[in-house]
Amino acid sequence: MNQSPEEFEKLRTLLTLKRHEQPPPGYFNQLPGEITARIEAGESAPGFWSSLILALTIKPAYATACALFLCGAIGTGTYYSFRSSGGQPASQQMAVQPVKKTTEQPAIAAQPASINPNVVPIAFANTNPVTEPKVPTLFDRSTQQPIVPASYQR
Amino acid sequence: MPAEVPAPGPDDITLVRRAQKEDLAAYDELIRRYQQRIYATLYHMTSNHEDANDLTQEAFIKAYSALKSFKGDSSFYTWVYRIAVNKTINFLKQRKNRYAMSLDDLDFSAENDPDLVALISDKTPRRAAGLAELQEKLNAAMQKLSEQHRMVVTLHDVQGLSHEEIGQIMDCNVGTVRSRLFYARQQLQGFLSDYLK
Repeated sequence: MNQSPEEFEKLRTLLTLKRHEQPPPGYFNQLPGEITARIEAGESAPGFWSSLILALTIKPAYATACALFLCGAIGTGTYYSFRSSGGQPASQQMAVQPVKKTTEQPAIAAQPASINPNVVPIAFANTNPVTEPKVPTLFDRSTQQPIVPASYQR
Repeated sequence: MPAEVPAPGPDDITLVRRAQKEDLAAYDELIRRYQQRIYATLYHMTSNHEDANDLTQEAFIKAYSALKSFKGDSSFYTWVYRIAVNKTINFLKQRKNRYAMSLDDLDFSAENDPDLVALISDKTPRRAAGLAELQEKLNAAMQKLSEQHRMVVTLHDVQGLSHEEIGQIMDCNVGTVRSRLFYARQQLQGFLSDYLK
């Protein structure tokens, strides 16, 4: 593909053909009316996102800057996530954390009832559905029963 | 493109100030001033009248919605051109190869252009058919160029804009414009070699 001056001149002549391409007659008389009608119909009302997209359309450099900023923010976030979790991302750390076995009895439940039968365990500490915790009262000690875990009831 | 002739009536910046205060009549006047050049550029980029029509309308509507941010650092003409050009390049990237040509008719003066007639006279005895065929080949060759190369050829060789104006519109320096123009012409010469011998 050489670019001889003669061929180049012919190409320029050939390209002038495009200047002779014209839209249908009367097209340019109607176009402004169509555009202003669409504007009046509210198509130009700018929202936040459309304004942002427009700004990015006018200046592609803004789009590049935004993309770089987002990449930087994601990179920084990932880096600090690694640092704070000692080399493992937080999400992974959560994923590999072993689930604690629930076979152990709570410390208060393992305590024999004989040690201190008057002690009423805190209601929320015992998840045993059999135990019906009573709220301790100063005035009605006669009805108060020692509460022991179900596993100790014979 | 003919040399820029100052339009009669208020200048662009006066019309822009009025349009910024939601004076649609002023904006209508601005559209009338630049619609032909904007439409022509978008048509040469798409080779499709309907696409060019849609893009021209959308470009002017977008420009109106962004008019409040127009500070007057560049001319209104360059500013609206930039919106139209970037919108078209985005459109063409989405369209990729799914295009169908819908060409405008050639005006009567094309058949009487001696340079064009000389180009086709030895190819076919039927002048009108020759021009129509040439038009189709030329548009097909243009569509083979990349969007950036096609835009530079359109703005410079068809529309007659200077390298500096193209640089402002396409947001690149003059050297890049020249380089793109060189490669675009080289490719076009290859695609249209049958008509350039």
